[in-house]
Amino acid sequence: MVEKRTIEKAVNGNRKAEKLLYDTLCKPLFMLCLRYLKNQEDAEDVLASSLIKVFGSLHKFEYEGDGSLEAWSRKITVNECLMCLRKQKRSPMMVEPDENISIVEEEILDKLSADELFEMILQLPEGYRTVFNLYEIEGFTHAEISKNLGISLGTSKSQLSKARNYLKKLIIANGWNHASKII
Amino acid sequence: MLRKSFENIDQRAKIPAGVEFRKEEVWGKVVKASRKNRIRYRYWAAAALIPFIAFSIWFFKASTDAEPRYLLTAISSDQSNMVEEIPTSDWEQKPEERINTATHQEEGVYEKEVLKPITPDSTETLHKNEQSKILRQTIVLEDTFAAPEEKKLSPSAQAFQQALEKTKIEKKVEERMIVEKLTFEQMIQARRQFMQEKGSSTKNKKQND
Repeated sequence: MVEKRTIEKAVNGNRKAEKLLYDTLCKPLFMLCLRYLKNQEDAEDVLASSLIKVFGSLHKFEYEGDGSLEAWSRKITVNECLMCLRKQKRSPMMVEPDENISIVEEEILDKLSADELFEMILQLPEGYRTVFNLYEIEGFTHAEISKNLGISLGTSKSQLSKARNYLKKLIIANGWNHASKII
Repeated sequence: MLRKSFENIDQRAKIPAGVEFRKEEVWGKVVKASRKNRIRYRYWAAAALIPFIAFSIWFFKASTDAEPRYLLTAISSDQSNMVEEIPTSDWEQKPEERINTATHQEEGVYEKEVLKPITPDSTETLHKNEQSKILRQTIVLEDTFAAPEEKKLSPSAQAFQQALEKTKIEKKVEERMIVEKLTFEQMIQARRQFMQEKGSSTKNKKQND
C-alpha cells in the first residue's frame, strides 16, 4: 500500500519517494502489460511510458484511500497498452472455436491457480485476449470496449463469448478440468 | 461472470517462466525521461525569456538613446560659397562602417558596389556637378532641444554685467488723466487758445482749397 505522504513527496520531485512508488507499482503493472501485449520488450516499453505519465501527472491525482493510486495507474497503463496495440495495428484474430467442445462449468476456473489463469490468458489469441482483459479483469462494459477499440458492440460481445469458449478449450486440452487445486 | 476468479490476478500471479522483468532498466528509462522533461522545461523557460529581455532592452534603450542627428551647415554672405560643409559629423561615417561589415558576410557582388565610400573628394565633385542644387539658399532651423553653449565670463566681466543689470530701469509708459482746477481767467485763455488753433486750421484748409 502507498501512503499519502509518499505520494506528496513524489509530487515534490523526491526521487526516493518516486522509487518507492515504482517498487510498489512496477510488478502488477508489468503483469498487466504482459496480459495485453504478451511480448516482454513491448510490455517493458509500455510500462516505462505509462510510469512516466503516472509520475508526470501525479499532481493531478486525488488520493481517495488505499489502492486508489494503483487503480489510477492501472487505468493509465491500460490506455497505454491499447495505444500500443493500435500503433502496431494488430487486428483482432478471428479464431473460430470448436463446436464440439463440451461446456465446462465456471467452477473449474476457481480451482485454478493465479499462475495457471495468467498462462491461460496469454494463450488466448490477440483480439479475444484484449476484449477478455477489458471485460473480465478491468471491468469495462461492452459499450466502453467498442469505443476504446473502435469496434461495434456486437463484435465486442462475440469476441468475448469466443474468448470464453477458447478458454474452456484450453482447460480441457491441459487437463485442468480435473484439477483439484483451490485458490 | 468470471471476474471473481481473475480478481487481482496481476498481483497474485508470478511472472511466467521465460519472461524476465528487467526492473532496473525500466526504472532507468523512467528517470532518464523525467530528466529530459526537466531539461526541456528549462530550455523552454529560457526561450520564453528571450523575447521578454529583448523587448525590455529595446524599451529602455529607446528612452535613453534619443540623441538627434544634425545636418550642420553655415550660411555665409559670400554668394560663391552659399553652403559651407563642416566635415565632422558621425552621421556620414557610421553608415559606411555598417555597410562594410554587412557586405563582408554577403556575396562579393554587393561588396564591389557598396565598398566605395563617399570620400570628401567625391563629395566635392558631386557639388561641382550639381551646383544648381547645392547653391540654393537654405535656412537651417537648429533644434531647440540642444542646450546652447554658455560662454564663461571672467569674474570681473561677470561683476560688470551684474552692475549693468542693476542700472537697468524699466521704463513703462503709463497714461494718466490729469485733472486741474482752473480759474475763470485761465479757462477763458484756454478757450481762446483753442479757438485760435481751430480757426487757424480751418483757414489753412480754405486756403488749400
